[in-house]
Amino acid sequence: MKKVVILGGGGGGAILANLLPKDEFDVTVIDKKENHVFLPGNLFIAFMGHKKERYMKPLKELLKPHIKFLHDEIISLDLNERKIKTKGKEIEYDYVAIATGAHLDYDAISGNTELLNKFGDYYSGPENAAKLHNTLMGMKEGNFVIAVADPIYMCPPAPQKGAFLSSKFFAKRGLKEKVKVILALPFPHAYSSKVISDIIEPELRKEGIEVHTFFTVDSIDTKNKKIFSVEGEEINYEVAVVIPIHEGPEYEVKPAEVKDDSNYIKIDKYTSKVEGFDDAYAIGDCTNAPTSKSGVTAHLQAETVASRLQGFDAKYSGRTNCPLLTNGTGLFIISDYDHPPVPVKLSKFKRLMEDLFVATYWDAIRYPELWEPIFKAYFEATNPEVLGKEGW
Amino acid sequence: MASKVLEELSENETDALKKTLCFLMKLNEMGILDTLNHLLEPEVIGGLSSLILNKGTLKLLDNVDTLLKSLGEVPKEPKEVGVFGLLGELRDPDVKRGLGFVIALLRSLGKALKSNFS
Amino acid sequence: MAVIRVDARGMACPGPISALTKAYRKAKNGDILEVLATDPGFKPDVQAWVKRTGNELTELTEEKDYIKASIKVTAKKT
Ligand SMILES: Cc1cc2nc3c(=O)[nH]c(=O)nc-3n(C[C@H](O)[C@H](O)[C@H](O)COP(=O)(O)OP(=O)(O)OC[C@H]3O[C@@H](n4cnc5c(N)ncnc54)[C@H](O)[C@@H]3O)c2cc1C
Repeated sequence: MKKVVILGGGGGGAILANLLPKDEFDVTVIDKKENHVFLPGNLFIAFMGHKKERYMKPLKELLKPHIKFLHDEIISLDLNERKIKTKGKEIEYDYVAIATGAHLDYDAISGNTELLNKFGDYYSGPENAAKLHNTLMGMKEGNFVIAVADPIYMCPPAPQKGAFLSSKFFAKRGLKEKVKVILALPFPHAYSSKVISDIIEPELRKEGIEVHTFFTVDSIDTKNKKIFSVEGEEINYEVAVVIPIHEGPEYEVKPAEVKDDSNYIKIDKYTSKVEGFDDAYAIGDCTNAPTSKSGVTAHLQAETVASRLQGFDAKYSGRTNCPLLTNGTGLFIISDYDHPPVPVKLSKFKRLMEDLFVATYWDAIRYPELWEPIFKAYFEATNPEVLGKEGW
Repeated sequence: MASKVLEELSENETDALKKTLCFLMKLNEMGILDTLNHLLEPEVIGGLSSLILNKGTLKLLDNVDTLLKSLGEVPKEPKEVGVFGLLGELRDPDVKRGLGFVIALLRSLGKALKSNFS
Repeated sequence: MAVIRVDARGMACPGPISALTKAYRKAKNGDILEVLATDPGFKPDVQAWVKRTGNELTELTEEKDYIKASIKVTAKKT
């Protein structure tokens, strides 16, 4: 039996654990939280008033019965000694997979923690998403601002999704004339890829959403309700969400060189192997792989690592499939290491597909063998190479 | 044990349970349960998925609402169009776009047929 | 004063402007930011960027397989 320890039971870690055959692997998952959280649900909690319980499940129930779950916080990882220290234990391994996600550093931008505590947000978790919903229910007029502190953050289309969904929310409350939704982004256009930007700009205009380009948050003055950008501009807000600076694991990892400037774990982008090690992998939001920080990435990297641990030469292509939702329609941002996002038009069908992905999330984690072939067919049919310039 | 479980069920639930059991028995007698069991293999699901989920079906489904909407807008009794009328109609940009779509469809259909038969 | 080199070659998403922004956050007035990029969209984007931020574009050249931009930082608020 090979002893595999998986650090973190989020989107990536839980799927990887469930994919490893029990007759070959002795699997332990360590997570500091008892509940697994489906982060995309934050949007539906905050802007559509869904109950937060719908998007949380005890991790223990999501993992297959033979998998050990250790509810504890990881303090350090020593790759040379093959040792993990948690608050309460020391654990050794044959193989380790780091899947602790991105660390959200609210303190890096002055005023951001205060903003979070006052209004809530839709990045840190379901509780804060529910808080944001309450804040928005109480809003009567003024600017609702969604801004970004750094160009690298989870789910690249999430600011736009927030803008579309909140605009619909205010319209429903009869506040379309009184509340203005403002989207402030570090990019030259309404989305980091020009191709996608050209597709969504008319929709943003139709919804009356104001877009500020080249706006990267530098600091927040919570007293005078102003957000300042690194580029030298400012925006007034009544309520604001500032997507915080993301980083790799906070806990110590030895040797220190495996982390980059932003603490991300340096990996081989195809195999997910930690640089310089054959018995250590990292998947999902905690790595420096040059692709989107998304659940799809974490999922596909988990499949790659599961195959590699079983002796196959599997590789991850960098494929993304981030959904962007507008008022009733949707599209997917489809790209990989060799192809920038292909043009994908907005349609009702894609919105339905996204709703299906959300509805089947828990089953896809619990029963990956059933869902793997179905997703595989979808990913093959929508491979950026297959779709080409013409897109979908 | 089983009787205790039954006691706790409401009348409606007992009724539903009986019907479900009856249904399962039928499925079993006909061999459908065995067949389904054997069909639920990753290879079969994968094969079925890639048959249903491919570039063509995904494009079709993506356009279903446009197609259905335009079908709904076709008048109940479209007017007759003769050869000369057709030439006139061809100047209409909407007709041009529709025709372009149909021709592109015919071209790729022709291509697919050629490779099927050669 | 320092020359800060930003190598964004091969970076398509979220792109070289993002790498520039990251470096600009830490830069001081007088610093030179030297950005190398392969994304063809970088040329108009960096021109728009200096116009908006009020910094100075001292060089924008197309080398054989990449674009090079030098920006003198002048508009940082202190
Ligand atoms: C608003 C929003 C919308 C999104 N929408 C989409 C979408 O539509 N599609 C998509 O693909 N992706 C989406 N994402 C991104 C997606 O949720 C993440 O990319 C994904 O969850 C990453 O998975 P992961 O396993 O790397 O990390 P996570 O899911 O973040 O899991 C990390 C786990 O590690 C645990 N952990 C961290 N540190 C420690 C420690 N020191 N000790 C013990 N445990 C620890 C955490 O408790 C957590 O359970 C969205 C994200 C947000 C915020």
